[in-house]
Amino acid sequence: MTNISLRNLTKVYEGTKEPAVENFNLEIEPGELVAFLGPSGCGKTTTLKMIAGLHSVTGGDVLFNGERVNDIKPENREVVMVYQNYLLFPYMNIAENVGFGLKMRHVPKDEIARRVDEILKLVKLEGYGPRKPNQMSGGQKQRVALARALIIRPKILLLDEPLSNLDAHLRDEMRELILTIHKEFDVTTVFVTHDQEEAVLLADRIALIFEGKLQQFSRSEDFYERPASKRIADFFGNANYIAGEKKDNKVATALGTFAVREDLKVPDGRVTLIIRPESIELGKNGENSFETKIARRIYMGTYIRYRIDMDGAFWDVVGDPHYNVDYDEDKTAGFTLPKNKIWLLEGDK
Amino acid sequence: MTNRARVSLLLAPSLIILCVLFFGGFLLGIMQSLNYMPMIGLDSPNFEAYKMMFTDEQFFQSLLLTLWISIVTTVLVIVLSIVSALALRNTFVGKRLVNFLYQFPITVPYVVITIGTLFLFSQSGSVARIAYNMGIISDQSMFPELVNDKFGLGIIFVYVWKQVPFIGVIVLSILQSMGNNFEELARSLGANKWQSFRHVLLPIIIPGILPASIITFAYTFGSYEVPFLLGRPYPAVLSILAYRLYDNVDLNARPEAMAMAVFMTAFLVVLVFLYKKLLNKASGRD
Amino acid sequence: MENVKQNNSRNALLFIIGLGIIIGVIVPIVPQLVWAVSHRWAFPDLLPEAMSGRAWKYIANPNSKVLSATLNSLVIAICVTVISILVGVPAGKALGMYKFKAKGAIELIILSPSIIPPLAVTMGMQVIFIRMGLSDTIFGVILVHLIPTIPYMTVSMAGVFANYDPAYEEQARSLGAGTVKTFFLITLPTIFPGIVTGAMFAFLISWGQYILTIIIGGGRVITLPLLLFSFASSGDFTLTSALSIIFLLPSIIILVITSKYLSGQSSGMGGFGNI
Ligand SMILES: Nc1ncnc2c1ncn2[C@@H]1O[C@H](COP(=O)(O)OP(=O)(O)OP(=O)(O)O)[C@@H](O)[C@H]1O
Ligand SMILES: [Mg+2]
Repeated sequence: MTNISLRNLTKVYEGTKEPAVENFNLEIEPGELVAFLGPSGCGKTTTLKMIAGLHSVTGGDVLFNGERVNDIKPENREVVMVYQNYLLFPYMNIAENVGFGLKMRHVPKDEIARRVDEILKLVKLEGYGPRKPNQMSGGQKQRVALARALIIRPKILLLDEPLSNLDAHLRDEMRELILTIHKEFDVTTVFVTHDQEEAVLLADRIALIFEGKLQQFSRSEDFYERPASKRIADFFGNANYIAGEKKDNKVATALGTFAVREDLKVPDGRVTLIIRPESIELGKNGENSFETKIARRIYMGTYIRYRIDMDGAFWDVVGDPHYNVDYDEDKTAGFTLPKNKIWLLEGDK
Repeated sequence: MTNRARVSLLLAPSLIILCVLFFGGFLLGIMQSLNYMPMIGLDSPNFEAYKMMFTDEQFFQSLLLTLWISIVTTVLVIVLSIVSALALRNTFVGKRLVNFLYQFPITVPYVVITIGTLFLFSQSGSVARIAYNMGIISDQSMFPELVNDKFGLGIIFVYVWKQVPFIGVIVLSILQSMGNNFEELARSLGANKWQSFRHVLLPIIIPGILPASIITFAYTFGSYEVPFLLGRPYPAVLSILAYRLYDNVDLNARPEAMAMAVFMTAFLVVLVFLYKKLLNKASGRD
Repeated sequence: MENVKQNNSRNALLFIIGLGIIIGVIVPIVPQLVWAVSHRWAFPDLLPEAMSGRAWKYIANPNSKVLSATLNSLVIAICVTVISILVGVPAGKALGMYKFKAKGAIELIILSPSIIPPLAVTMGMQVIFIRMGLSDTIFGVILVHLIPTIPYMTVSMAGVFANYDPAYEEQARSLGAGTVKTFFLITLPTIFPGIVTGAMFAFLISWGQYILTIIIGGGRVITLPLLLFSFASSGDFTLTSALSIIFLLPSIIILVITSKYLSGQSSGMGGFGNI
């Protein structure tokens, strides 16, 4: 199994000034399933292509198991990239497409045939070998592309937006397939997505990228509970903020003083307090509770969402799914911020 | 107005002119080749012209030369156009100039480059002069015959010069619309540079340029101007031979000229037909 | 470093091919430029012994045939171009924008002149042209030049219309533009570059025509290519070159105008082989 290290990886495309990828540092464990998550144009594909050796690096290093591979040609890296739009070779049938990598390695014909059949079975496309790509549906094409990549038993599998061209139903199926494959082949896998839900569902760890810079690389829980910035907090669901002054594990804000965990490594001074709408408790339950006006009550079907007035700003609060507690608009109500759900960021910008 | 009526109206002028002139002319050619055209006193239809043509040693020599020139030209054009297009896909200093010059031959009339070739490659041409002054040859006649030569080298040069950018521009646009992804994918699946060219690029380029290559082949096969200035009187290419017979003071030679024109037409039609069949067969594999 | 080495050999190859293109394109044109102003240029001199404006004086002389031949060539090529536009644009629209029965057959008919040498059909036609009094006339020559230009114009316009989205027209109509306004404000501006490019190449096809002009013009309708051929065969290199340069002028102008539109994407490239 292969570990991937990216050290200060930088890419500036010819004829552009802004780096597409800037100073990337990342350690991917052997056999890990990692998601590159970020908005369009943030450099996800570029990073994948540098790992695959398809694009040269402008600066920094790519290492596999500690060995620098910057100068190893893509065909010798044993890293396969699967493209978003499948890119099945149109003039080859499915079997020829899947067997392509073996043919390039001069594997004997009968062995290619055998292994193609084997892998087509794995992706549930038994018997589709003689078909042409234009006779396949989107989901089938995606599976062919996967089979074509897996047949050469790569050390590293790179999937560029493997799910975004599929409709919702197929997406579930493909997710399962990716998990199965990842388990079965034990291959270090990186996949790209701009859908945080997808990243959370699939990945062991997520690398969040904005504008060519790595923002945070961690398990998905950490993105919810310990975001590194307001922007990250916003990217992963909703977040409420309030500025305050931290001193001795207490944060003084316009709406009162809130106690926070002792293990937060934020120095005393100006801070931003963050809490998720679903973490706020209804009612005054001792410590960290306060009262404020309900500005809006929004019926969401399975629950009620409140918008509460926080000294001019508005916070979202997810209400009780069982409707045991129900506040009216324009009334004052009590809320509590559980101490262990509060997260702090340095500064108040 | 129904679509049908509109389409007919749009197509009519074009089709009428072409049918009258082109197919009319073709029909008249066939009639004259069969020695039948009462209007000019030919009224005893026969196959004499074809018999004469197919027993004429000169005809076969011309056919051979014509085929040689068209085939060599087409192969060279395909190879050079792909190589040059692959190079032009890269960015480099001076690319704008090279790009502009690359397209230049497309608009240059055949006559101009034909004359240029004559001045450049004849035994008293610029290249021969340079060779003499460099001491490579000591006499004009030592310079190899590159124009008006046995193998039609000068003729081939002109056709290649004109046609490479024409096909090359098509290759470039195929490469452009294809992007780099297919090649990259092939590389990541383990193909080296050559393999990804051979197994991925080429199978996409070739079908894309075949129709245009057939048109240039046909043009090379039937055109008159270039071999007229750069060819030998004997053996001459088919079009020259045909026109010579046609232009003969002896009007009795005309049916054979027409027979030759009909032969050239039939040959090219069969070629296109075979190409279509091949195409259908290739795509019928689905 | 592997990468650097690779880049070096790649750059060397690019350099060779780029230089090859520059030399290969320019050098065959150069001797004509020198010949055109040379007096005597015997073997093995690399440069002419003396310069001379003889050819240009001859060309400028109103009694020489050059002026009238140029005029003939221009009149013929312009007429051919206009007619080709008039019949080729509608036909291209039909082929590019509509689906109909027998489309394949009609495309075949329209394309066939680019496969079958026009020489082959023109020889058969000439007897009829004589009967109809069209032989040896400019009008007759214009007619035969249409054989290669109409297919070219039609096919290249079909390419333009195939990329043309009629939804724009519909949008304009729904916003209240009438048929005429829609045509001038929407349709024409969209297809105009395509028409111009196609027209210029139709012009060049006619401009460069020799054998069709000879067969139907019977040597009485003198155009520039006819003069060029006769000078070239007579061995007057100075005059030939000067004429050749004049003959090349429209090509250069047209290349400068159209070079940015030249891309294989237009199916009209199919006709370029005929110029
Ligand atoms: N070949 C190239 N030349 C120049 N710039 C490029 C090239 N490829 C990508 N870029 C630029 O680099 C940046 C990152 O592109 P990249 O394709 O890596 O984004 P991405 O995160 O994969 O986006 P998407 O989700 O849209 O696929 C973009 O600003 C893009 O415009
Ligand atoms: Mg991408």
